[in-house]
Amino acid sequence: MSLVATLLGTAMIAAGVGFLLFAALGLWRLPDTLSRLHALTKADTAGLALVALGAACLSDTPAALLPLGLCALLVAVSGATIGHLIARRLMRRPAA
Amino acid sequence: MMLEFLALGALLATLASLPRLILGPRPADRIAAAQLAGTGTIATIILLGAATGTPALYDMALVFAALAAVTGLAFVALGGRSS
Amino acid sequence: MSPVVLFDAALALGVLGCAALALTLRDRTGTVAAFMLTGLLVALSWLRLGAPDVALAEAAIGAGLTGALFLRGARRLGPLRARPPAPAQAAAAALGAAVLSAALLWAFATAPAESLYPPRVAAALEDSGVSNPVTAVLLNFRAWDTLLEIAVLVVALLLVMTLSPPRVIPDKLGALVQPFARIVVPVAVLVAGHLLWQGAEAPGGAFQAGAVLAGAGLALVLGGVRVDRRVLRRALTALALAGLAVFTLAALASQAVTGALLGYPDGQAKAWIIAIEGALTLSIAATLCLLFTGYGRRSAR
Repeated sequence: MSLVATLLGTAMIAAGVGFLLFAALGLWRLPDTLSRLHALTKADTAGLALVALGAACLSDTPAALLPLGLCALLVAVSGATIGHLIARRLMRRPAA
Repeated sequence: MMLEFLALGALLATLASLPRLILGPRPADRIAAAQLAGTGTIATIILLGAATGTPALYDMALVFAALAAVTGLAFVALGGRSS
Repeated sequence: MSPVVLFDAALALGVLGCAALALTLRDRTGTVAAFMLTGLLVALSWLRLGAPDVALAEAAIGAGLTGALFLRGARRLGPLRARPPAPAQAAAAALGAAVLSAALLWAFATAPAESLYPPRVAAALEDSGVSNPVTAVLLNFRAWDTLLEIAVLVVALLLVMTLSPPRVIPDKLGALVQPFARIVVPVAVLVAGHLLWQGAEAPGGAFQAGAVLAGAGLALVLGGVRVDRRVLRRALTALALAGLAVFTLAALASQAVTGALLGYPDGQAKAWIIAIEGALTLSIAATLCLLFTGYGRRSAR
């Protein structure tokens, strides 16, 4: 494994974990439910995609790319859909 | 060593969704916190796999990712008015 | 302090904290969310303990589907009424927990350092037809236990049929669910097939694959797939019961062929195991879906 790939992978993972920590911070500190959903759908997706990409850089076998890529895809699609659905429900029935 | 610290960071990010889970105030907030914790867990598993050099763990992360949306979907579809 | 020790300490504290939250939060959605988080952390703990098979099962069933089932129950029960437990009740629970903890501590302290089973399983693994020791135990050496577990699932389904809780009619979720289902459902089916196949040599197997498949099924049901409900329910019920039927037939057939119940013929063990696990996967998935959708004729609202 080349030094460049190791450095790049570690840097991306560090950035991804940073995004995840900020997502948690945002979920905690943002003032209302609709703004908190931003933390869930954006920071979260970016964080996991960076972590998966970094882990792919660090892995020895290209076979690891498939599960990691699918992970990032599934989390991105799930987070976006759930965020949208929750927001839609809140707009229609503010008490929920 | 570095990767192990990063795995710890991902675990802490998972646990950092707890304040919102406790505070609420709406049910939607708590479900959002659980969803965020799910993503954090997937990241933690990927990092454990990378730190210990076991790509088999990536399959497990995939199982989590495939089921990540089920509870959220159930919450929205069931009306989310059980508070 | 090394990061690994810190990781394990944070994990252990997190599991205890989330379990406490799941018991004490005065909000049903909150308790379900805390329970799910406990499941996620317990799966991570199993991973750290070197039991990836159990971690997978916990991930698929504990963290994924139980949350949906609990939310369904919570909706039927309605809001939580604040009613602290009576002092005698709390004292009895504390006493029970203390006795159980003491018994576990005693069992842990007096357990022999070496477990008896791994060497015996390793010695017989050659003849089992698979190379994953967990699958070998579950579907060859102790297949009888697994047969009874499937019977337990069928009993759960029969209970739901008999009690017939009101049917759940999911709200319409709008247009964005379709692209979601188009991506997630095929990937989930792929993952389930992968788990089923690799169960022979790596962590995976029928329970995990069935749970992932059930997750895909629930996504379809909640997304409002257009199928005649009665046809769907009949098909799922047939599938759910087929697992136990296939397993029982296999047991009888192996009795007839080899003279031992669930003793597979020499050299063919792998084919038998894959056939049984395939049937079980579909059956477990159908059962979990039916536990969510229910059988009742009355609708919930």
